[in-house]
Amino acid sequence: MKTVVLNIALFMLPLWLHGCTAIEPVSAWERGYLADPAMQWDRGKREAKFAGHVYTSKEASSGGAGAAGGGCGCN
Amino acid sequence: MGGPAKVLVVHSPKDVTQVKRLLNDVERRLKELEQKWSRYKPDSLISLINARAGSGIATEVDAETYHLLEVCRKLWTESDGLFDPTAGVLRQVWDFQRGTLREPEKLPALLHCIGFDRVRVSSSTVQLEKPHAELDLGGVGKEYAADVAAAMLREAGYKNGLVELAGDIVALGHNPNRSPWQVGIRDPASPEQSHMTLEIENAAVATSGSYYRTIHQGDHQYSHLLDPRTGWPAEGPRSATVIAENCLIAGAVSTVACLKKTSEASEWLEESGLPWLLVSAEGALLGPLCQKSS
Amino acid sequence: MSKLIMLRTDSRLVRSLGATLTALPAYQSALADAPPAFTEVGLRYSHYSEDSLPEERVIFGSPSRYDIDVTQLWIEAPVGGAWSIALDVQNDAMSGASPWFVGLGLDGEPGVIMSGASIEDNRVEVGVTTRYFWADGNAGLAISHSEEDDYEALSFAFDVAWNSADNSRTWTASASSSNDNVSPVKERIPVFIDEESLNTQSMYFGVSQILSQTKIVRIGLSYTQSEGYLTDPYKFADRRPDTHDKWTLSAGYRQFMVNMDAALQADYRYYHDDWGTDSHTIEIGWHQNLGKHVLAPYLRYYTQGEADFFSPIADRSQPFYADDYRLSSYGALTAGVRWTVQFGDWGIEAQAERYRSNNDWSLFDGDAAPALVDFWRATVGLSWRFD
Repeated sequence: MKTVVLNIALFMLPLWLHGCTAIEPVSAWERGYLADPAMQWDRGKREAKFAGHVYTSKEASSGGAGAAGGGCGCN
Repeated sequence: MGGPAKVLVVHSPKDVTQVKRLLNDVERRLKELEQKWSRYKPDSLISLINARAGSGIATEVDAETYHLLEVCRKLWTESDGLFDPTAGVLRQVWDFQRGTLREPEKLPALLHCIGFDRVRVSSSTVQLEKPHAELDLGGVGKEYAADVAAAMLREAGYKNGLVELAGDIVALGHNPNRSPWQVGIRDPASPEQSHMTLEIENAAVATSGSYYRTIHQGDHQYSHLLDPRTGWPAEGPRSATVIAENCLIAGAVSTVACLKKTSEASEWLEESGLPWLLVSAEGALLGPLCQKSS
Repeated sequence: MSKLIMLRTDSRLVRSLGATLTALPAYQSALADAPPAFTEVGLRYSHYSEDSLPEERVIFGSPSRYDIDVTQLWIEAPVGGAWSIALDVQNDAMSGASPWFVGLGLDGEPGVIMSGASIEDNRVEVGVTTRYFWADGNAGLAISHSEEDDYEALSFAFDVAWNSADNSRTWTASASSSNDNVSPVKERIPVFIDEESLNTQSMYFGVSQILSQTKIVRIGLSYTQSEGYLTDPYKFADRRPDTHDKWTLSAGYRQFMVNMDAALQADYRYYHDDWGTDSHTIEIGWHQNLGKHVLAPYLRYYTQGEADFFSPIADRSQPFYADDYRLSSYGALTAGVRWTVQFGDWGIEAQAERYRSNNDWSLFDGDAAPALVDFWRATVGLSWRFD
């Protein structure tokens, strides 16, 4: 089962890196939009933590947003 | 934005073509900023915004202009309205070339046009609500441009260099002799001479005040900085010099200082916690920088 | 002559001006990795409420399920010029009942036997995070302790992010370790263990890449390994392996829409574990800037396949078995909206979310569990920053 995942990962990575060749260079002074809070990966640290906890304790899956934390609070 | 621009890059001989290209890029970028923000250019973005004052038409602006106006708003708030990018409209009655007040009777009407609170700024548009109002990015625009040039040098991998835009300076690293950059602060009494030399590394120096353009009314010599509340030139210090991590902060802090009375200016500068120098209207030197100098 | 080196200042004025500069392009490379400019304190209150089970699915007990009141309190402050420290305290006050096991009802369909009388439990989590910033990156170390009547966990996490020379690519790596102890409260329902432990190690590696002035993408891989007691002690028919290996492959995309002053947010996660479960999660969000306000609606679709040892009515003759709905095949839809506003130094937030799950919405085959969960959650929060 492990091999399945590794194959996918190895397949996806070169594909993605290949895509990088089409990346437009963006200078420091052209990063105003990228710096907007709208471009953040999460909706705020505390919300991300709470939402992650809710989903993890109600669904079989976890992970994918950085390393896992501790605690249960399950049921 | 006016004034001479100088960009120095310390590099090895083999980098000549690369540095030439970089300096070309810097020049193009500075011209682009001037094209956006200069009120002297009739086809600049700022001139377009000003021409549409009171018309109800919002002008589309780029993110950089929007964010610089947000810096202005912060400074306007922090200075209790003393720094006001709309105060430039008062130039209509003041003749800085000849140093006279042309039409005193127009002053009350112009004062009514001033007020940064009546500049409607969204992240994509700017609109001056009052007819005849004018936006002027003096005190921040040129200073920001100096930081932009310095950032371009840094980004291209050059750690040592000097940017000087009409008296505002950003020093990167050290000079070709591996010692700190020496920066002269001009003497308001004799603008050709510098009355003090500062040694700086990785810092920016901005000077605001009446070095170049002054107004003489009777016995008074006024600065070209106008008080948005009275419409008269500020009766504060002749000049204020501030050293900061970047030129925009240095320029913002020194510009507001020059709009205040000398004693209040000292308090403001002291509050900033940055190294400063003040030349009072009488020509006295004040502040931590002059105490340190010998 | 005067030589000046120190330009860092504690001045509120300069820091407040400096904070407005971060959005300007010329300062972004310099300020990309800098500690927060202000101290922030915040308080969030959330209510989580599970729908009652439909009467026909309950064989015994009350159909009402869990309610949780969550209070989060935090303070985050810059320390010197290169560090920040954050203290997070969270309290979860839980009450309600949960499914004990699944049996056959009079109609021949699986039904739930609930855990009976209402359970009250309180969980307190305290975490400290310190973070160091340098020109090209930052690194954080977090320690967290969580305690409730029957469960205690101590975890450590380390993460590091560093930027490529042109600042267009950011690499992220993190590792964490958690030591948990479960000691079930016995008076509620019969339990068969006194105290058990669980160790979990997890690592993540990700990379984000700026594609243009308005587009950024990232992908990440994670691996989590648990060893110890993974069975649910409060479930009558639950016996799980004592190791659990999980992998995820995740991807995210953000695109700023200049004309609309908004951003499109899309995220995907593939999950696989050695208990036979695979899942897909897709989340699409829209972040609309409205002056000082932000309105951000989002939709999430989640689907998972059942674990190898799951069956609607647990087969206790097998080495491992479970009737826990969380291990069944189902699909879940979440719709939520978040609103925030910043008035000077004060920030206000409110958020509401609806979660519904159904076996029919699954992309995977598998029998329906009768106790799938639907819930609401809502949050209000206030934060204040100062020097």
